[in-house]
Amino acid sequence: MRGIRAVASVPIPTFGVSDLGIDPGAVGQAAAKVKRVDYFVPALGKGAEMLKGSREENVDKVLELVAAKGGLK
Amino acid sequence: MARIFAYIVHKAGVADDSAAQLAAAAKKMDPAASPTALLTGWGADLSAACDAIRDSYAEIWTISNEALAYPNAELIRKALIKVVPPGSIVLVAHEHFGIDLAPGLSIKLNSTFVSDVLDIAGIDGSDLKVVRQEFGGQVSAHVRCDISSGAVVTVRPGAFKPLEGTPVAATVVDKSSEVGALTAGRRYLETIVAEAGDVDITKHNVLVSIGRGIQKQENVAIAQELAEAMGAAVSCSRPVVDAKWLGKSRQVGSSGKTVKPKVYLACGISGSFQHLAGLKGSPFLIAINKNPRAPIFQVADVGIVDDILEFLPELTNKVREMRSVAAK
Repeated sequence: MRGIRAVASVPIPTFGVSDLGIDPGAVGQAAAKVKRVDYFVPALGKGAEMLKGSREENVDKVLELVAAKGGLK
Repeated sequence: MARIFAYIVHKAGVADDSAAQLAAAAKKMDPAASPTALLTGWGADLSAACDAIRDSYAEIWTISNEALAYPNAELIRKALIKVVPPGSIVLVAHEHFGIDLAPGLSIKLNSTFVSDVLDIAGIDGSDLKVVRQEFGGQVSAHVRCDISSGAVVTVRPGAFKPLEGTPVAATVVDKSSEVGALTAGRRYLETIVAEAGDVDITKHNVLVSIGRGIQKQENVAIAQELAEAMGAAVSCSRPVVDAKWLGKSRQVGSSGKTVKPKVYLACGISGSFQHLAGLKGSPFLIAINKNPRAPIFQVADVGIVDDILEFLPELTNKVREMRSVAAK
């Protein structure tokens, strides 16, 4: 607690890009080579074939697929 | 369009599954491209790995050097910057090794670094548009990358399906003489083999794998019952091990084991790249997760949006029913 109080009043220096000797044109949004264009919610199961049946139908289908792939000894 | 290279990870002469996936990613980037494979290593292992990828690449550049017998990213980076032409695009699998190699490689090549790419949305002039996941895979983002000075791109394992087609007869070009002596600040000492657990999940053809969706330790029995009925083994993702619900020997992923089953049931697993990195051999992946936005559905073959705590017991009953009918 005493340590927290002791450092609470210590000023925290703020440096700008030029203070660090960095070319402002080489950093930041303008200089970034990788930029996010937009966000989107991926299409549901874009890669997977989504089973839309009832639970019982899905269970049957999974069992059929597993057996077809040699997954049942 | 810049020349595209794919760095191929291999171990004991066996090329990683990502070799064919990177070729597919290169083709998605530029359908007219003929990507070149980059292989580093030494001796018989390098030759065997080279033979293993001849079907996927028209040209293979090899760098044979005794110092590269163990895949030390620091040394490999030094070797690659000697042979990769400026402005090239280098694809690397987004696994622990690729994460070690790729960022520094992009700095040394003075090219753009793009990590964990799931899809290629297109190329517009010198801009490559890719798809990445953010916020734990809950949303995706289109990201535009300036590739005018080349790029190093890490590609998520499993995100690109290997292309089917006529095998190509690869030309192998030995680039070893261009590299010279290699030294590094870190060196390989020894391989520490992980302790074998009660069950060796790497030996099973079918894995019932559980993740955070199993919710609590008592529920692990639901997966064990299904695995027992199917003649499979139970594996898991990292959160299950962290919670001490299963031992470390059951963990699949970059910090766990690498498995090559025929069928993989991902139950309540979100599908982080760290987990998928442990899944090799393109198994038939069935994902069951009650979150319809779970990233695992992007890479699975079949997906079911359901609560595993209710779905798995029904599946277990059905398997037992089928077994008893077959036994009569």
